[in-house]
Amino acid sequence: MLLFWILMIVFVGIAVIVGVVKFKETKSMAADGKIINRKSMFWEDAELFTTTATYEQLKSAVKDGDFSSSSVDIYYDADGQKAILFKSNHAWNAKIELFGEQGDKNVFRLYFPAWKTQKYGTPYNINSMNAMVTSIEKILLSIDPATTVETSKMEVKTKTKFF
Amino acid sequence: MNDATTNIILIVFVVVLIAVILLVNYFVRLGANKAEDAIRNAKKRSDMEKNPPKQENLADRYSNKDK
Repeated sequence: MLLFWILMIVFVGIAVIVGVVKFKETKSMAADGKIINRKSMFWEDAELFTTTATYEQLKSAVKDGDFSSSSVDIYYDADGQKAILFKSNHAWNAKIELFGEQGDKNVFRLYFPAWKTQKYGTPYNINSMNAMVTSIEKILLSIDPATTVETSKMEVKTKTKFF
Repeated sequence: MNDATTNIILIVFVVVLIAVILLVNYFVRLGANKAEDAIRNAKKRSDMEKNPPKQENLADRYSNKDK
């Protein structure tokens, strides 16, 4: 019985420490402007940006950008399209693609095509996803401060692994 | 039936049993995930019909970040 209580205290202690560390990390990243407050489950939304920025301008700005908080490998012209794919070490992918034109402006779509989740359905590192979206938004704002955004919900399809 | 045959039958039985458990487990999880996705996607479609996406200035997200 004593062993049970010791284990319980250890588990609860670890959970509290992990929670505090995560909270401090979030607070510090927000204070540094690396992330902003977003809707819950924002990784299931697609952001449609209407901007004067061109794909070439975006590509060049991404090359100069800082994505260290997201730990990503970047693939330009992904699938032979005007799209940039970000593959993160935190088990998610993000993609920004030229989605269409609206008058003399371009519409870019930013979304997460895939992410792995923990047991309770949340991605492994939400802050890294938030930082990614924040970096892209800041890049678009630096090119065109009048950029507008529209958020739409994306349908999800869960992959089930055999093991 | 000698001991060797009995052992082989036993091993085959255990292997088949494990395979069946894994298969059942996989299909149960597959069904549960499909059902959950269907419910969530239907709710999203309904929410989108009630509240269609609106355009906002991207800059507002950053000027209002401390609110």
